[in-house]
Amino acid sequence: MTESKDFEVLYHKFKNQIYNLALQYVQNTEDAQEITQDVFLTVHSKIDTFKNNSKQSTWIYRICINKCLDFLRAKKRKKRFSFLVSLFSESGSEISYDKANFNHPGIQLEQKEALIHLFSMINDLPENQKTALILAKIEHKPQAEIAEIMELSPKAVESLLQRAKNNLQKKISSGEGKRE
Amino acid sequence: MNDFLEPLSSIKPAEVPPFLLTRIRAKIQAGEGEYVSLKMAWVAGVSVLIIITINIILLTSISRKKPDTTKHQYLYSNNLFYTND
Repeated sequence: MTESKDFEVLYHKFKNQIYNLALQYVQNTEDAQEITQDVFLTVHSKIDTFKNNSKQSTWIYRICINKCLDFLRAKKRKKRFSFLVSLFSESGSEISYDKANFNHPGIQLEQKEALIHLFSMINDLPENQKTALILAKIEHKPQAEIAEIMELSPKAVESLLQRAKNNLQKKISSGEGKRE
Repeated sequence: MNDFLEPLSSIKPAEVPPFLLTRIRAKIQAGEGEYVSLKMAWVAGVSVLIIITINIILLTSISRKKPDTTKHQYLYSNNLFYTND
């Protein structure tokens, strides 16, 4: 009984943070809900094994980031497969998949185009650079907390952020970030 | 560069839909019946190990006992039994 009460306390404390973090990774409400659900199912099953070595928020954030990355890897595999399928079919449905899937409730209509464009470039960054950028620039987490969540030193986080910015800059200057 | 990242700061936090907790509770309840006790898992694991070990022992003993027929087959097929070499 207390276990489920503990769980509900955790759920109400972190539900919005986890949902929003998942949204920044997948930019789709249904996928973010699925990830949030998976995160809290894992939290429920591992609540007994949680040791107070790290903060609760750090622990839950780590679970969420791992779930998001797993989800994106699976999606990438699916996309590769659908690309192969599209080679043999005449309709080009695979190409418009990403833009049609973009559904982020936290984005205002006037910013939507700019953010679809920006997220398309962020999504191409290596996983750890993307994580550092999301936590720093969207979730506004301090560098020390990002370091704790990512199990890195603050200097390593700083370097990841710098590399992420450089990569985005390169994409912009090479014209890759041109709006469709 | 920071101007380019500026739109990111305009993202507003979204609210998790209220039905999600009900969905999670239902999943937890559905999953509780599916748990296999640790003892059962151990018994299953040990049984599989025993079966694999028996199989390996049987396979190795059969392959040891098997006579080497390849030489005879070769001699028969080439009629080498009847040569003087």
